[in-house]
Amino acid sequence: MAKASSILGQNARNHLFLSCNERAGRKIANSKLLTKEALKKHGLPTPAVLAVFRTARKVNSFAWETLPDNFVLKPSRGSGGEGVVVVKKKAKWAGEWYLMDNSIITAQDLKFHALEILSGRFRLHNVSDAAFIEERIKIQKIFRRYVYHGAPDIRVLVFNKVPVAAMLRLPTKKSEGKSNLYQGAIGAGIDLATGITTYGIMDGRFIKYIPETKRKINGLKIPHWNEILRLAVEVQDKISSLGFLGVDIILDKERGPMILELNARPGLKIQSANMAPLRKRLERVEDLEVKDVDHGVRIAKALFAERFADRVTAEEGIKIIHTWEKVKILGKDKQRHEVKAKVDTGAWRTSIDEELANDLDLLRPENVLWSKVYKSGLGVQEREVIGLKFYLAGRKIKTIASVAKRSDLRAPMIIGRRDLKDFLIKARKF
Amino acid sequence: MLLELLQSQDLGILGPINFLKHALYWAVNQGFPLEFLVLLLLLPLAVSLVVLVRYLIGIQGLGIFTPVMMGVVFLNTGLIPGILLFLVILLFEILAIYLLKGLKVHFRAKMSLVLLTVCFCFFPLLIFFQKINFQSLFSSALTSILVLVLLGEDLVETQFRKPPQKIGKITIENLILAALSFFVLSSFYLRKMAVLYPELTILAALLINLIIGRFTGLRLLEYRRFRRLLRK
Repeated sequence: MAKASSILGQNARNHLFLSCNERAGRKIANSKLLTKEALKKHGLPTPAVLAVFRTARKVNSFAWETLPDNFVLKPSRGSGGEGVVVVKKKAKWAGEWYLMDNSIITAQDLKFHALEILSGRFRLHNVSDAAFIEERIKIQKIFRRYVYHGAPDIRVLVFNKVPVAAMLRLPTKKSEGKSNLYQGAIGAGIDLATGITTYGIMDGRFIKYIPETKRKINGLKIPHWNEILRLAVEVQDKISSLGFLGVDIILDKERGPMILELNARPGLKIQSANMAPLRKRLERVEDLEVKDVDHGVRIAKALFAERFADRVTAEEGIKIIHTWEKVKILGKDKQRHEVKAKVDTGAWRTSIDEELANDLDLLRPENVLWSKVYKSGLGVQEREVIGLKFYLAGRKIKTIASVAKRSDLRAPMIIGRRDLKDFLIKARKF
Repeated sequence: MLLELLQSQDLGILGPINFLKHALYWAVNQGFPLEFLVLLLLLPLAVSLVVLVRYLIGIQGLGIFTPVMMGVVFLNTGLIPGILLFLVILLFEILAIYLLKGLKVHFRAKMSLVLLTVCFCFFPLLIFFQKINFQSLFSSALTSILVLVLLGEDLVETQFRKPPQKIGKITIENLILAALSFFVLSSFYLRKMAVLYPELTILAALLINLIIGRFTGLRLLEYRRFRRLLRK
């Protein structure tokens, strides 16, 4: 049970952590155009800006018809996705486009919307603002089955150069292609160690499936996970006036992770999406001395891994097994026979019980490779060495094995070092 | 009544703990209405209590001044008539927005048109008020009602941007806070306290803000918001 004191509430966020963001940093984060400028200055990837409007004159003189098939019109200082128009594709006539819900928007409408943005309609207290047009990102294939429409992005919360929490934000029908939870998008917690989604929330409620696509929310492995974490930390490394920030990262099909925007006042729902209280996490990394970007990422992975994380491991291709494993031996009949085996790093070669080998018809002459006199803990014996195929933790292993009388031993089969390449052995079960 | 209370007490020698009482006494003698002075003393307390509710419980409304302003208006109209009137005005404003949604004029022009619609709608409403013999409310609180119309506009502005559920929530929260400040401003006991111990009201407001201003724990409503996390 999480204690109330380990949850980050509004009071604690505003009072204790937002003070880590200096004025200069807040100024950058609060304006999307300034953010883009700062990111470009430091050579960090961000979607291209197609046009910027600071005056009504520019809006009127701009050739709206020349815009590409799809793009996004945004206010520079809007918050919570307000005032954002996502254009899906060109309609039949020039100067007409489809929106995400397939309604038509004309150049005239866009112009008007841009003017409204300039007048500050989407800003607090209606102070005047700038509008800009941003290219639309082509989303990765893996997300296509998860989102109804629009592009999902990943919010990474960074504090003291350590990622403390992350959340995948999936646009829904209701959010009109925007990925702000505030607009009705889904937030899915992500395990920091592996980049796999865990829990989901939508409109403040916990959900297991995405309403429109009926897909399970958990278990999605975010591609480029390491890069995403590195990028998020790198932002804070470069823009150090933001001590506690949310970095929104979008994954482009070809170009990989890109920074969409920065948030100097990140929301608290990320805790619910991860089912993880944040205040404790923040306090844990507060005083750490983080050497560089990679160090920060390593700390996060070590400290905030979900329980399942070590079973998956971030390093691709390495599987973790325990000392006792069930293996499936391929018999002559092409059937898989399940056998309890002991993983024994003291032995070089895998060994199998004579009776069992006989049962599976593995001792037939053409399968016996050679015989050898062995000296072992069981005394001097002559053993046959046979060809053996078996499955361990879902992997097929083709190897040789010596045959021994093991019927009075606990395991009818032991797996030796020779066949344990690419496995990690965990001595204890949990 | 309050005046008698003030005059009946012994002032004592001017010192650090009764200087406000002296000031109060002096102001009344100069012909300033005591009612005004009491409200002046209770206003910071009302705002402080709204602050307390915001940070301790989590009822936010629209900032801290809008609800208190509504509370002040309710002083004139009475609580229940005031709330009903406000809800009626709000209803008209939302209706007006709905009507004007498709109209392509600048944002503030549109807000101005919403106001126009609401003012216009008041005339048929007057017939209704006449039927239930409510004219007296308007003579006693005429400017207050105008303030209510403008305050409603404040709330409705958020309606343009935020989902409809949100405005319902903000309205209810705002009304709760307005009622709270109404009770503070109209409570007989607090008024008595303001007259007898004016320094105490200031001290109370000071303490509330200084203590609550440092509070970093969870707000009461956040316990509900994060209940799943707490249960885990």
